[in-house]
Amino acid sequence: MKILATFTDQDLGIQEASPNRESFRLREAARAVILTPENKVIVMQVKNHGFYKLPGGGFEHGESLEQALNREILEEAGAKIKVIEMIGAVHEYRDKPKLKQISYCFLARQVGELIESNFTEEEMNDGFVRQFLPLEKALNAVSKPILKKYGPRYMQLRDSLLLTQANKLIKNRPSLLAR
Amino acid sequence: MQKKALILVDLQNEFINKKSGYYLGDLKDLINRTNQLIELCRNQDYKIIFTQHVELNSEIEFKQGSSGVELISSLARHEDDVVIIKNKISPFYKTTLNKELKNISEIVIAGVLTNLCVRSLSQDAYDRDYEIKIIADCCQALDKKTHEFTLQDLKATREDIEIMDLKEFILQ
Repeated sequence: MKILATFTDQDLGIQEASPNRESFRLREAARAVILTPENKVIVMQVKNHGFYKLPGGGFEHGESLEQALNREILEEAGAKIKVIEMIGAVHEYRDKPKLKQISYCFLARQVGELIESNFTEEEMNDGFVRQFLPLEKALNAVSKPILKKYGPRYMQLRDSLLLTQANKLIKNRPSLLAR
Repeated sequence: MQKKALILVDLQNEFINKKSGYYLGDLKDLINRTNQLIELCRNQDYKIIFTQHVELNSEIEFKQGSSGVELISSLARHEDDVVIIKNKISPFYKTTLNKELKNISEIVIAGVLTNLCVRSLSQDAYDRDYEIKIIADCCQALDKKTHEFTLQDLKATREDIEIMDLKEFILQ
């Protein structure tokens, strides 16, 4: 999968980025920009921390990319999906937790009826709420505020890039939208 | 005894760091004008005060101890200028600014961001009955529209606040 971007602490404006990044613990994750039948995007509002993110998350032991994607999206967004395009991979080297995260990202369409999200305890504590926003508004919601926390800033860099890419894909091929 | 003060709001490295969410672009012109303002006020025996923002629970911008919180080095500062470190938008909250402004009746304000800390200082000082002049072209926000709207709204809601460019201030 094409690497869209590699983010480091330098991209957060923190001057020092660790030189020993290849030794970081690896976390792989699957994420999706999901279009509903109304052509809205499903975003997760993290109420207690004042930001929005795209649904998705890390692989569990032994899972394939497809399994991780479908499970994470069903748990967080409560949606069954059909992938319509690959968006690309985003690499993050987070110095603080010494973590290398690779996110594999897709443009997908919701199929069938939505079900309730099945949030983890951590997500419930963070105040996760599922929202449906037009793509432009989703992009605004994800990129606008200047967040104070380290992890959310990485999510913001990544998810605003992913939504921008999804927007480009759709602009070039309007047939991707449901009619 | 000094009766007037010049307060320079949050002119810190964070705003000239290209990767920061608070990056304002090249501030050379703004700093040049601000230095002219500082020299002019210094010659007229104004008390010179710099505010410095430190965000206590931030892990990135304005983080305590980071280079981003330091004042921009090209400012015409003197050792005996006052520096007020603040943790909230208002420079009066849990700081010694009140004490520094004892006997002061007029405050001249410049700095960044127009709609955040400049506005907060202006309105909080207004409510403490100081005469206030804001030097518009020595202030900046993340975008021009916000800058202009903020000054327009301050003027519309607090008519005693004077808003002027550096040139007008020099000619006074």
